[in-house]
Amino acid sequence: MQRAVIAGVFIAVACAVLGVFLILRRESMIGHGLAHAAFAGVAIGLLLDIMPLGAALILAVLISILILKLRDRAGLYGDTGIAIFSSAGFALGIILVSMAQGFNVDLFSYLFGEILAIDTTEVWLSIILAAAVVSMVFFNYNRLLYITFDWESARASGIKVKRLDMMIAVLTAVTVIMGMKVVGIILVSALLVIPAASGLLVAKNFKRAIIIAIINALISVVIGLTLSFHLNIPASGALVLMSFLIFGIMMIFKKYRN
Amino acid sequence: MASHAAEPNTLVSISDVSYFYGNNHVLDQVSLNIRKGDFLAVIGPNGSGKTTLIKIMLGLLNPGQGEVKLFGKLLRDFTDWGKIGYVPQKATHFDPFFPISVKEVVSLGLISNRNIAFISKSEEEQAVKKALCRVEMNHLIHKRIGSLSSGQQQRVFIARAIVSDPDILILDEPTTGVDASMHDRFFDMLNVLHKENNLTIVLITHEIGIINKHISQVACLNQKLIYHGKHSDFCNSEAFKKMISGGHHLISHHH
Ligand SMILES: Nc1ncnc2c1ncn2[C@@H]1O[C@H](COP(=O)(O)OP(=O)(O)O)[C@@H](O)[C@H]1O
Ligand SMILES: [Mg+2]
Repeated sequence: MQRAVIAGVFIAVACAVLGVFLILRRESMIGHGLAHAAFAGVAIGLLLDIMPLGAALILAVLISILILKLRDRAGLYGDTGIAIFSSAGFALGIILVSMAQGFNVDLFSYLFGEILAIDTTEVWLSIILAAAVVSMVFFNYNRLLYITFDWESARASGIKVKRLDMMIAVLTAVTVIMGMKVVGIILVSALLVIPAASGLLVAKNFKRAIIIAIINALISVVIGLTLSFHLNIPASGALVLMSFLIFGIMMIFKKYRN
Repeated sequence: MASHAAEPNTLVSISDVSYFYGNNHVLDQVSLNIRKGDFLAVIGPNGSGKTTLIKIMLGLLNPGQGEVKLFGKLLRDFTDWGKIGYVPQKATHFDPFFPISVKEVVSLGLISNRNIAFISKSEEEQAVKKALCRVEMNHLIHKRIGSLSSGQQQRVFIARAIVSDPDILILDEPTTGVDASMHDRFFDMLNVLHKENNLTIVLITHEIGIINKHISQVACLNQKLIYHGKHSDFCNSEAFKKMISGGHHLISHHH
């Protein structure tokens, strides 16, 4: 339980921070898409008996970059690329999984998360990865804000926008795979989107949007996992519903503030 | 061309630039020098290639042919982007719900400088306030940018462009969202920037009516550079007569 909370907090905070940028870049479905596409990676891992999340990570990074390139080069809208690859990857995953061992409990843990079963190595891994994601974002905070708000002016002021786009693509893939560990493929986009959305809902400036997103993530992990543990309900469901509840409260707060 | 580029006061030198969008020949061998102290208006109808020319000048588009020098350096060798302030045509077309304050928007303009010298938080704050004062928007510093009128937003974007203390300010159709009744005040503000801060200004517009007493130079563009010279001479030129006569395709407004 303690391990789960620690790992969950780190991962959820990374998701929340990145999510704010993703929503504003109109890429809120990228988490959903990458997680589904990475399902093929999980399946390959199960089939070849190598680390499924490792295989999923490699696949997710590749697809994330591919989606970015397709949008730049082929003029495919970001959204379309996401939709195409998520369904193609998931379709491939279904076939591979049936070849591997059929739909068993192991598979379910990838679909719905298995945070309570996380081991010590995985906790350290998620702390390191999450810290890397968050520090990359903060180190490049101003530049990322600039390209998100006004891509063209950012480019005109000499910022290496392509490099930053690529960085976001890779960080997103890493974050999504970590999120899969916590809430599973089906719900991972909730971690990216809901806390960030609550920040965007009420904040008047960008810094505050990120802070509110982080607070939402922290509260939902701690309370969600606690409830899950004591009431014996699925952790992923409890955590995401908790986050949604906070979002709802924010909406009401916003309505009455105005 | 070479003799112009060698002039020390030439900030921007565009030589023989041509550009195609697919088969659409947008710019045809345009050469234009912008000198220190100019208050230049680039005019031409919609679709005449003004924005394209500016984007080439800023390295946002690669010209098929020709070359651009900024401050005497070839575009690909130029790194001192803080010397150039730019307000794009679509600056105010952002998501109105984007949670970013006026202050945050203006500080973005300092990023290009950051790489060279680290600016402390208090220096940053001072620079932002100073830039906002210059455009008379200091009282809105903590507002969300989306909650401002488009004229106010335009001024904030100008503040962002001048916060790095540039030598040249480029404005692409800055009066589009501004009330006609405010145009004079807008130009007075630009003129103060031009005079007091010794700022070279390039203003791009399709509205010939905008041409104002403060403007010193006019460049008239329609695929080719039709006229470039003093504002006072422009009013007696053939290009001007054609433009105001209305019969010429120069003021057609379709794309
Ligand atoms: N991204 C683009 N792709 C294709 N054609 C374009 C693009 N941008 C502009 N054009 C075309 O190039 C021409 C010049 O456009 P532009 O430079 O924006 O003109 P202006 O700024 O003078 O209105 C127009 O015919 C326009 O349709
Ligand atoms: Mg234009």
